[in-house]
Amino acid sequence: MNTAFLIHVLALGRIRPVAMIAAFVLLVIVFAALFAGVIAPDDPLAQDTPHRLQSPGDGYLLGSDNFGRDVFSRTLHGGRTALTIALASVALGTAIGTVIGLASAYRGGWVDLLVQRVVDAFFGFPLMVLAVVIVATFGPSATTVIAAIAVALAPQVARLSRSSALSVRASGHIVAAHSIGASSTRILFRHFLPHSLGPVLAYATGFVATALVAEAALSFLGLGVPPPDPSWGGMLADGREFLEVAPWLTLVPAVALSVTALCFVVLGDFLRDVLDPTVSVPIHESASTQELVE
Amino acid sequence: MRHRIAAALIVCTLAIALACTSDAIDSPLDAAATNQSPAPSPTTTTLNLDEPLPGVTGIEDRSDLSPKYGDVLVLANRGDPPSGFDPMRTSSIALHHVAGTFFGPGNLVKRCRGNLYLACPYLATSWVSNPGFTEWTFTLRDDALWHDGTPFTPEDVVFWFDLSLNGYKLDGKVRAPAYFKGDLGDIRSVEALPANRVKITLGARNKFFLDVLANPRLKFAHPKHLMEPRLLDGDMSVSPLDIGLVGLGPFVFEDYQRGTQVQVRRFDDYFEVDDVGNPLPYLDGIDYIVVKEPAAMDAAFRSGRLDGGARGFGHYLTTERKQGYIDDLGDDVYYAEIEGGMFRLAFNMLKDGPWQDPRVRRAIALWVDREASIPVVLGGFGWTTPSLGPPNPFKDKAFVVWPTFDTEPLAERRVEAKRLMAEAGHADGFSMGHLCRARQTPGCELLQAQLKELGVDLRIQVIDEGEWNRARVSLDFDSQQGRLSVLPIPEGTEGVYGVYSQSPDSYAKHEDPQVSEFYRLLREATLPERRLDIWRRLQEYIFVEQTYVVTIAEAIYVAPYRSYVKGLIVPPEDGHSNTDFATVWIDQDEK
Amino acid sequence: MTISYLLSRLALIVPTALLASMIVFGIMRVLPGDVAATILSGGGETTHSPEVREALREELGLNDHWVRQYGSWLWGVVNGQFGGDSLVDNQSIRSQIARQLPVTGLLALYTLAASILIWVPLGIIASWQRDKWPDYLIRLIALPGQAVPSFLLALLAILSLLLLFGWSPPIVYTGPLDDPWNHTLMVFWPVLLLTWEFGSHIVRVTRSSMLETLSQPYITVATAKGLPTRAVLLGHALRNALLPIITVLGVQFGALLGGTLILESIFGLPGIGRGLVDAALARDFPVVQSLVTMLVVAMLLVNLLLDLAYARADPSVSFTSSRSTAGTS
Repeated sequence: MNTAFLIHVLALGRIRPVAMIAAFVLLVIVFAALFAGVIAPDDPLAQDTPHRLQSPGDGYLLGSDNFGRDVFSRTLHGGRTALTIALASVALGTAIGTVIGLASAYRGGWVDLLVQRVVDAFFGFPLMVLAVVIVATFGPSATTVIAAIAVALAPQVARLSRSSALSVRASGHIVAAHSIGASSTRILFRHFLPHSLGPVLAYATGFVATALVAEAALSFLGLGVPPPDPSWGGMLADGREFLEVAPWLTLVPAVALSVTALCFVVLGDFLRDVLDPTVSVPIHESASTQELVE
Repeated sequence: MRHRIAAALIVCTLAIALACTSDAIDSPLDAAATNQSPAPSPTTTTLNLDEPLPGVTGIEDRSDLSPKYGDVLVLANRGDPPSGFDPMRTSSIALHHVAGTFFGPGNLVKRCRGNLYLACPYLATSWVSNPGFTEWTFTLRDDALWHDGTPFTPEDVVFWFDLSLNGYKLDGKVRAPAYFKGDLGDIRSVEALPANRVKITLGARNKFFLDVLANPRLKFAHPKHLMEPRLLDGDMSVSPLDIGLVGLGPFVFEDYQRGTQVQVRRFDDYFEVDDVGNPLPYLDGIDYIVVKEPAAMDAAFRSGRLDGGARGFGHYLTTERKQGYIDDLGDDVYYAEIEGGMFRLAFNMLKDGPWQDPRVRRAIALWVDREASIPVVLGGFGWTTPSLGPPNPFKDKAFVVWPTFDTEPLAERRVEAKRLMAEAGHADGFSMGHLCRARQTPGCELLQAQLKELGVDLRIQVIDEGEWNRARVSLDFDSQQGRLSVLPIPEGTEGVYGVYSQSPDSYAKHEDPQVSEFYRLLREATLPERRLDIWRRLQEYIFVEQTYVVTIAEAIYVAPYRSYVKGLIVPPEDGHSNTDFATVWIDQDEK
Repeated sequence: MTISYLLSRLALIVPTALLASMIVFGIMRVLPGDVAATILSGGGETTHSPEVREALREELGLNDHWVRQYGSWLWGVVNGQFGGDSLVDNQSIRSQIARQLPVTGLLALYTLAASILIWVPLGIIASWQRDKWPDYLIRLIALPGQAVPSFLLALLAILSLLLLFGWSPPIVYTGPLDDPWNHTLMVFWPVLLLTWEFGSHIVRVTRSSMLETLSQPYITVATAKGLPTRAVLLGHALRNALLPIITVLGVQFGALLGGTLILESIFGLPGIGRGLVDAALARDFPVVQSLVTMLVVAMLLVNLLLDLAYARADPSVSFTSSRSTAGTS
């Protein structure tokens, strides 16, 4: 990251105000989630059963849930959990996938072929199936949810990192490095990695949105973060019983989740545009490699 | 003779109920009602003795209208019936809601339609037992036919008991016995006797063998003439579905579309008649639609696609969902109420921990705000226990005024709880694990929040379905939720309150010989008053003196039916009962 | 695209599927929990003795050596039984799949068709009207599909229909040929939601791919030659922009299957989705193994088809390794 790059980003930002707005909103959300403990008026676990299912108003800013807990406080804390899970799972999945993809591209040959087939097999695997197996083995918890989503994302990242690695490999860098006698590790870290990561990072932001929604879906199936710790997905799942009498129980976390996810998607688009011209591969290939793993 | 004693018992209990209802029940429930938010007020069921109690008078609306034949009833079912529709394999309500129609409401006997707590003739017309209650001879009816026209014979009974108790073995291949084998008790032999009779010989005296048999889960779904050939062929896992769901019940199996519906139609040669001699069933048929999502069931019912709701936890209505029904359909719906599962906390007495001290257990029991659990955990329908319930003669009405149990205001109880905790040396509190089933977490969340103020840090351990059966039997946990269905007689509770070595499924794992002694006395008791007395003392011992189990509240399960569905028999408890729907008819004019 | 490559891809499907099935088998064996206990307890409601449970394990073959268990399952797959019987249901897995697969397949097909017919043209329009209001509008509509959980939308849809019109979708499923109107009323809603979710990806890929192609020199030439916009867009640009669109269709196919899972159980469609989750939770090994293996084979085939389509669309791509190595010679 050098100053030229930063200037480039900001310049694009001025042309694309939507992306800047998204970034700003996201910062606010992340800030609120981080400091949930300070901002939240109530303990998210404190129950007040005589005042359950209150609609948003004086007593409770955004209403109270089935146990009389403050929805606003729970949404803030739930955001922390949801974001932690989403970011951690994407980070983990990206790490695993990148390693697999890079290693496979680097080795080439039959190892590459075999790994690629396995990746193919799990590529579009329904997240829920993997999640059930993982959660059932280790018991429902935030960690298992993270693992489940990470494992589901890894093949996509592997695909992506592999293809961009192959493009880099085909370009002049590697041949040149080899010819001056650079060691394999050096080539891997100084050349492969930086150029492969660009597209991956751009897609990672899009994956965060997917992870947020996935956590909600897992909670719906009863496989999400166990109670009483709040998470947006868990609040959605719990609130659905009361959709008619207390819609705020689902709508508040739903709006929070959707807005956050949207911001990530918009940002992801933006990052992709930013990184596009700086990835040093021929244009035709870059288009296909990037759109490959949408 | 039995019937007269039972009748006397009912009169006595009703009298006591009348005495108690006016003061005792209303206060805790009304208190709960007034503490509620402006959200729809939970309709806690206060017993109104001006109306007939559910289950006691039995069939509804008999006096006003006469039943009409015809029409197909459309009910929701919570899922696909599992295990090939085999009642020997599973007790799942998804099966039994449907199975009552083609297998009938019972076996040799059934729970009386007018009174769930008595055994009535079904496939046996009469029975005698020897004075020692070890030999029971049943006379079977001679007009019962399997749906393929084959007569029902004593050999079928012998075959069924053999299959249930011993399974089947052939050439090293094995078929497991029925899951309820243990419930049947020690049966030495089952023989077919001339004149259409069957004799069952027990290994130990059991005065209440009929109550054991009258369990609606025990159904004759295994016709010998169809199953035995398959077993001899080596098909050990042959299921009723494999042989076409041939049963003895009022309806014949017509079609099963997996994931969508089960359809049954009237069996014209059914033997039961109503009390004026009309042949049953009235309905032409029933369509059970598989609707897995409760919200979808609500929408379908409220838009007129269903005549009745599904049975099963999760599909039963909560106060909030019921409000939607009332808003949309008003008087066109009535709500069947069935006493349901209990919400409790049970300690593992075989594991070391602060709960070994009875004062600690008592403190926790006193601390819990039972009334709060009804709207929050039980969907707004329930009673705090022990409390007045439907007219189960063994639900002791006097229990509600039992000293130091449920009668003081919560504030006072909590003061005492704190005192006990301090006296036991745990003024600073402690941490305790709590096993919680994955789809039933609200109860655990409530307990955790409440006990926190007492100083007890309840660590919730959520267990998914697959693990639950292993977890609840193990000795790893500190405390658990516990929820099993048992026979509605005191003797049936030994499986959940008994000593661990005899009953590994018991809620509180203990080896207290006093409890075994109580059950022994219960079995030995000859007079009903004595039986009631022992049961009362057993409950006091387990819940109050030792507090092995903290009883909190009892759910009421609510299922909706359209008002034109007549003749429905609603069991006061155990939703597996009366699912034959033979007495149900549809009033076309009202529809 | 050489025949030998094609054959080698096809040949690799079997070992990959086998590998996947072995992984699943291994995991299922390792999982805590006992399917026999789950079956006998009727959902955790009743008790049973350990002796009965042992006998059931014996009956279901759960006590056999793992090699034998895997072998009998494999044999069940090979001879068309799709792995034998479900442990929980006691019904043949084949009959289960025969009933469920067409339902899920139809849903996927409808969604695919609807997405192509709706979102691809919208993506083209968006690219053509870049940064003008149609572009923003289209992207605005598409965006939430990725950000809002579909099950919530499903529940809201059902509730809204009920409150506004007093109507609910039918609850008894019929095939498209048995009762087309009923079928349509039932599948319309999940397909609508799935298309929206699916479409959010498609429209963006279409748009960016078209933009990419439209910036090529030959497009400028074509426009300069005086070709009408439609001919330029559809005739030239689209054809070259197809590759990534085809790719994303394939990629999202798996996600589509996952999406049908929840919606099927909400809308009462007897598809495969929920059954797989329930089977895994109940430790119904044969079902999980069979379905997972089937899914794996399906994914491999879909990927192969995509690669074939890719090759047809762009002959310059060589297949010495794979389409991912675009541009290498």
